[in-house]
Amino acid sequence: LDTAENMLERIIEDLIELSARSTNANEALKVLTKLCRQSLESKACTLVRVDLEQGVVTQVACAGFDEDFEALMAQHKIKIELQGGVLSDYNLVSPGKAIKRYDLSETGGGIANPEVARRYGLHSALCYPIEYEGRVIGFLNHFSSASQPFNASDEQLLKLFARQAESIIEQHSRDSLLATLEQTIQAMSAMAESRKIDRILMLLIRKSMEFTGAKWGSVRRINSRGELEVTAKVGIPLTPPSLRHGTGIAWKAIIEKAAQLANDVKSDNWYSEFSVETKAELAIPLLVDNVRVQEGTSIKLRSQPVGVLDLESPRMDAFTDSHIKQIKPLARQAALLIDWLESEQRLSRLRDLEREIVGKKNWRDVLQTVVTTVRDSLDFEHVNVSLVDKTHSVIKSEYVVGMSDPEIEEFKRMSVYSLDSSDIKADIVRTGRVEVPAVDDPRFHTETYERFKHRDLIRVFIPMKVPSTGEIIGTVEAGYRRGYRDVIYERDIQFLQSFVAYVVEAIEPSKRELIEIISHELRSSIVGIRSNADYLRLLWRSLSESKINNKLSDMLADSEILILNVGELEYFLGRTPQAPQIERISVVKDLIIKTVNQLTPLLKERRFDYRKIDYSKAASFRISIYAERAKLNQVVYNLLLNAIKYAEDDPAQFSIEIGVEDLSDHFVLRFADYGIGISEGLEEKIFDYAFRTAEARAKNVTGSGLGLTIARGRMRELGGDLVLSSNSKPTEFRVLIPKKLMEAPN
Amino acid sequence: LILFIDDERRVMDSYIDYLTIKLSPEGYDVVFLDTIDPALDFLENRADEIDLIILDVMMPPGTKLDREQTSYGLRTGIVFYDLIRKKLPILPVLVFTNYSDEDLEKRLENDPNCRFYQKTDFLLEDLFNEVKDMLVPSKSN
Repeated sequence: LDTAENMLERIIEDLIELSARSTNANEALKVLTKLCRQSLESKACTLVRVDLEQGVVTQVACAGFDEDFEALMAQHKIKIELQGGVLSDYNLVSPGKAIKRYDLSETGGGIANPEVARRYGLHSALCYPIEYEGRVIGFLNHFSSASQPFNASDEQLLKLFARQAESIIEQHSRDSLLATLEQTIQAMSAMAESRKIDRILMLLIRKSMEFTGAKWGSVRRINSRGELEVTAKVGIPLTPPSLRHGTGIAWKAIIEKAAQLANDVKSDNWYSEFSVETKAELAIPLLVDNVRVQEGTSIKLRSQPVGVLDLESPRMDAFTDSHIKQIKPLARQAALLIDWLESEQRLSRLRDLEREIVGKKNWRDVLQTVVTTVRDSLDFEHVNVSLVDKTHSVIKSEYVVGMSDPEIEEFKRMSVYSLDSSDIKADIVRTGRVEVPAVDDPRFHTETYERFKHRDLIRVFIPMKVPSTGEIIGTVEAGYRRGYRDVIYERDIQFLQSFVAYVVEAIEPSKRELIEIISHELRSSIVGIRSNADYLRLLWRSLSESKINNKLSDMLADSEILILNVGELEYFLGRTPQAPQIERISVVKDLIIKTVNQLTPLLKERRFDYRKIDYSKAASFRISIYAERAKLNQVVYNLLLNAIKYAEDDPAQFSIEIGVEDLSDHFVLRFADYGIGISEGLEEKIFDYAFRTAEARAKNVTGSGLGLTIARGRMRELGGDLVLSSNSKPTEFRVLIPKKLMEAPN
Repeated sequence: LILFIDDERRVMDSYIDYLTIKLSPEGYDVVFLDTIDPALDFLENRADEIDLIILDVMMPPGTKLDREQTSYGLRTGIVFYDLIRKKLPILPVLVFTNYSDEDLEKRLENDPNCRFYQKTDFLLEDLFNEVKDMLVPSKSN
């Protein structure tokens, strides 16, 4: 007993010393095995590792007869089989319990070569399992030449050494885990510092190959055709072909958003062969978590892949779950960085294009730039800008990319929808909402939907809203094939929205068009005045007095129109016609009669009789007010000019009546004409900024659509108003003049 | 015969008068039409009488042309020009307008028998000289 106690004491001392000295796990385990042999007086003692991943048992340390013996034992690798061998035995015993073998020279007992056992006289073995994190990772084997059973003290001592081996292994694993972690962190920070997508991908591939021992590594990303294309590779001389949607283990990883391990590629249905040498493949998706995507009108959180890391090995069973665990953080980091860098790049490209747009004068060029920008910078494949037409009655496709030219023409012909229709774009104009409609949304037009395979697309619809007026002038529709991505990122929608808002602000088509029209009208009046002056200069001597008079009246009429146009420009700039100057004005004499005289040449042009403008009823009221003459001139001139411009062509039908009603606090001037009239439903719309009815456009191409807006605005500035009281036959406008204007200001 | 198509009769009156005075001694009539419908009829029925067309661009589309196609009148003259070219490929056409459009100018540049001018650049004599100049090859044809 005393000897046993002394021995134990010595062993413990040795183990403490071993633990204090050991810096290298393998060396420590070798020393431990030697100590174990000495203590148990073994013939030989070995420490083996059970490699579940490789499926073999290999020797880590051996203490025995000589170097030859150690070499022979090391050569003996036992393939794990379900039947036979220590593992299957271990499955039969309780964890923590030793296995005993007595027939080594016959069978090897699953732990030694029977021939070696015979040569060295090894008859029995006591094997103690070494556990780590709840599973067997190896055995400490004590070989004996005796054939009798092992005693309890042998087992206790072996257990003591096995536990010590476990502690050494645990310590070593922690160190190696720390080392791996450190490498991972270094790789992650190198990725973050590089700020270049190519470099990030190469770092990811190289590090993953280092961790797993893979021979070939690549990153595939989904291209615009919806295929997985190799964008970076290591160890692969030729670029592998792109993978069609749903083929290859890489696609499986993308679709299932989870790592896919195929340790025997031939037996995997998803496998798509590129090299015959490949035996195992590991595909890890590069996922960005919690991406905000839009569905319908609401926002949802989704995990989205930006690509897939593909590792291949010429060895079967080359990859393990722990490889996945090791690489996942790297893959996630790469995905986040790529996503972030690409979104930065998009923003910066959009900013550049915004600057480019500022320099463009032609808004058609601007809109063409928009569609190509949305396609090239935001990775949308199908882009369609539809605009509300000038009569505010239909929305039609104007600028399209993503189809062949003949298809675009056909699409544009088919894509004209009434704003009152149930079409999705008409609805977006009505609601002003941004939407990503579902595949079976009933607002899609069936014929176009089928003809242009829109079922395959996921699209976002964005209203083009003029910031200053809130008016929606059209929609921008952008999408891609569902195979490319089955969602639309909210961030991309925001980019798109802000870009569209910028463009709308930049072009403000109504503003541009208005300036074009006003400048056309200005030119027209100038051409009239100049040609008449030139005519008089060239032909003066041969002209009759009445002809000269006519030409001069024409020049005056054009001058008045010029003044009106300048007034429109000033209104446009938010200015009053001139410095406010209040004066006493006789409504009939100073406004109506004067304006009718100014308009005589226009009446003559259309062969209308000026006497058909009847203001006799108004004349009897003798209304005089104190106001700014220029403002009131704009009102009366616009009303009479419209009545002449939009009169029926037949001179016999031409007639304008100007009457007065005396109300308690207002005079009402009534302007009634028998012209083409105003369609029902447009009673208020005609006062909208730059609005012109289809009938008005058909009759007079030019015209800013500002006349009634200005006239109503001027009346309201004076405390009065302008309203339409009858749509047609007669078309009647009522000008409300507050009676307080009759009092002279202080 | 000079066919002069412009919707602003009053503003163009001096040009019409002056061209008539200057061209009638040379044997040309000036026919002025201020709407596109009769102009279409003229082209249909009396095309062989026309020696030159002076054409405005922005004009009401009338009842025969497609409103959409003419952009609600903004491009009526262009649609009419295309019709002229289908029928009379080498007839001199003088596009005389206040409308400015680089694309259109470029397109018309490719037509040796068409000239594009801004009204503000031409006084009466200028227009007459231009018309005369364009009529010479036509006469020789």
